[in-house]
Amino acid sequence: MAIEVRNLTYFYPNSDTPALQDINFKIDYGEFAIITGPSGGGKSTLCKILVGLIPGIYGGRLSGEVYIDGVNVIEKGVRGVIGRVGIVLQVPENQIASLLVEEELAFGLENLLYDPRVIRERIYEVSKNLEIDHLLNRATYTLSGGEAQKVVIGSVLVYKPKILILDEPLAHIDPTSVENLLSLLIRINREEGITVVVIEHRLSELLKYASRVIVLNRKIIFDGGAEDSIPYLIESGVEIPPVTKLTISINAKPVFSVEDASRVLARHLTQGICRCKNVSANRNAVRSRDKEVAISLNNVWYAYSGNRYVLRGVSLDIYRGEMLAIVGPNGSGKTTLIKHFNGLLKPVKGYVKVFGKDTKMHSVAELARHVGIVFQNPLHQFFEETALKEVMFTLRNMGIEYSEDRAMKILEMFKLEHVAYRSPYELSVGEQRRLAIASVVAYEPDVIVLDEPTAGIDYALKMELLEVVNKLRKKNKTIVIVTHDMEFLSKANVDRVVVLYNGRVVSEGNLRDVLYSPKIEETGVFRLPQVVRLAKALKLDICINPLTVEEFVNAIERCF
Amino acid sequence: MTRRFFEDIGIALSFDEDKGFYHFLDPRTKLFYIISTAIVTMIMNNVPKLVVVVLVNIVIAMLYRGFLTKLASFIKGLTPFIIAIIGLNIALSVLFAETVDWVEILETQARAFMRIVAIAIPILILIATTTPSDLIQGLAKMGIRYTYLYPFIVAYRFIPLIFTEMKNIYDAQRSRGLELEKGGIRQKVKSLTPILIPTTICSLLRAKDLAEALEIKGFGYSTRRSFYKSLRMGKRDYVFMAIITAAYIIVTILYP
Repeated sequence: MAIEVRNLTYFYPNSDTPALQDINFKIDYGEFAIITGPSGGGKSTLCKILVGLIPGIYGGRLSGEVYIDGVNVIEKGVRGVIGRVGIVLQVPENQIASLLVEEELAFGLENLLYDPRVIRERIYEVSKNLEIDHLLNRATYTLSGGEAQKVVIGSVLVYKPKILILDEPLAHIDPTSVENLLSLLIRINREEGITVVVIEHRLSELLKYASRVIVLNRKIIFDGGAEDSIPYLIESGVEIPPVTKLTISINAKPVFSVEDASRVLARHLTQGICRCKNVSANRNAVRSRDKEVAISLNNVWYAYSGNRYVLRGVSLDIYRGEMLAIVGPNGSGKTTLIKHFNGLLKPVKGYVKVFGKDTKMHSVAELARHVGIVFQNPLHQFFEETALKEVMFTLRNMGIEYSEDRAMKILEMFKLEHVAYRSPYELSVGEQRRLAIASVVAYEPDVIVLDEPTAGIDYALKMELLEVVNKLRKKNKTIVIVTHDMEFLSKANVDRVVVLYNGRVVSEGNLRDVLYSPKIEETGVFRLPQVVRLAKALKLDICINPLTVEEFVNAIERCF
Repeated sequence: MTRRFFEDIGIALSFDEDKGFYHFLDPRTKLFYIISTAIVTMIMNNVPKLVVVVLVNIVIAMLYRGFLTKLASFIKGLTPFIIAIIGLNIALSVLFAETVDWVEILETQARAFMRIVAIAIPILILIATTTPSDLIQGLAKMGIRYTYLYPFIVAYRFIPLIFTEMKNIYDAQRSRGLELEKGGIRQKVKSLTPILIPTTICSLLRAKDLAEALEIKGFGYSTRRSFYKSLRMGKRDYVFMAIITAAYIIVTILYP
């Protein structure tokens, strides 16, 4: 057995409730296993036990036995499994110890006193295999998320491990890199016979590869093949592939990939019962919007000191009351763009006007009254003792009186009143995200900008976030969402989408038109959502342009 | 101003991927350069001599393309601090001295400033052209155990990340209406808390992640380690050291 866990129960130090309870499972050599479950369900804890970091570094009470490649990890600790198992922890950039990619690949082998000649051979072999040989001389802090992830994987593959364990490898990379990484993992698994264990809750693209699914929520809820796991995944609030949802809704056998779904549906469709009807009914009328311009960008160019241009002539009007999405792959300039909305950055060329005020003439504090930006990482803004004070900080800065009452009301609106007097650092990931938004929404800016609001959170929390966005929308706020989460956008029902690529606006329009435009597909700017890919694969896009599973099912219902 | 500070210092302290003359020097040679410059500037006692040392160093640094931009960013970034320190020093000397000799006070400060610039040059060259791993290997060859050095040196790999993070934190707080420019000194110091606390916490989280990753990669598995690159003092190193030594001797003799 590659991995064997017997009667494992674990308590963190100073805790009376077990983080994991009575866990039993085995994973055989050569499997591609997924360990999944809701946030806070003990996935990462289990990962740290498997590799010997718990209880070694963390302490706590542990009972039961864990064997990795025949080694008793609990007894031998991390050092007992080095070289047998490759472990990739969550944030890639934090695991890189060296300045150059090449050095990082050598780092582990150097620690274990490998011969320099062998190290050089392995670096060559692994970098070729992972297609990172062109990166060998790059400084590691200049890598993109996807590249850093590959380097970290490379840095453990040089040991030639029999088992590879990855903790949330998809959390920090964009959809194109996800596809890239997964095909790499499946290749390592099939061609080199390495056992792969992925701990992850983003299953949309992943589930199709799994030979095993283990659903964990403190206890093991399910252990078996992907097909039977679906009801348990749904129950645990884990994201399942939209095409799977679709095949279930039409009572077909569940499939996990767009290709399989297209095969299943094609069979139904060729029976000729289904015809395209009512093309226009399928289209949402573009929401009528206020014509008043909230933020106006005119030919905006920007470069960070001494570097090449990140924004290259962006012109864009954001209207009062609309919900706008800015999409594009990592590194396309999305965050740089929104930092212009409240004057954090001033354009090198061109101008930005916020309700008619040129950002070059006004301070950030002044502009922030109109435009509230919530950045991606909530930990970048928390510093007060309690959640309540965190909201009051913003209110006071904006000169709002009676701030405590108002802060409390906002916390209630975001369902955070029960944690008002707790430290922001003690909150769960979802609560932290809501608090970050609450502390900006509190002073009622006209425009609210959310930078990657769905990054790092699971499906259930995304749905919570969707509710928050809808509430803001009811208050008639102008909302700008920056994201590469297309499934989320389809559900959020945005008015307009702007596609940014290499610092330029390459496409603009309503979400449906943008996703179904042939241009987007040709340029390969981003990976299309599964429902869109499916409609295109079936050549249904000439008559129906669904964005969600529900729309797809409604459109083809009469065929079955 | 603050944002620029992070960017300027970030640029000055980052590693340069484009390989040039200094990348091929042995780290021990660069350490020799730093130490000899430090000694010479400490011996030199008047401003004109120190100016000459700085000029000599700038000429030597010209072997590295793009160095002047780096030095300029560094000095630009540090200017507010240097001014503050010099201002404070002058204020203290005026307050506590019995007779105020302005010439002497200004000379002392000018000397201090020239020393900082002179020593900054070889240090910036070391940072821009040496990877931590090479430095560890160089020091290991001088008999220092790598596990002792590592904590100091890993800090240097994280400099760019932490500067970027601070910039983002600064932006996030300004978006919430934080104003650093407002108010008196007390107010200003107080308004740094919203930046310093998240920076500290995020750095601690990073440190925890890194510690785990190091453990997993067998760091400290043995008191020794192997090095995949071989580091050898070459002709280039000896020639460079000879030039430095000669230059400093000439400067010392010409301006005794």
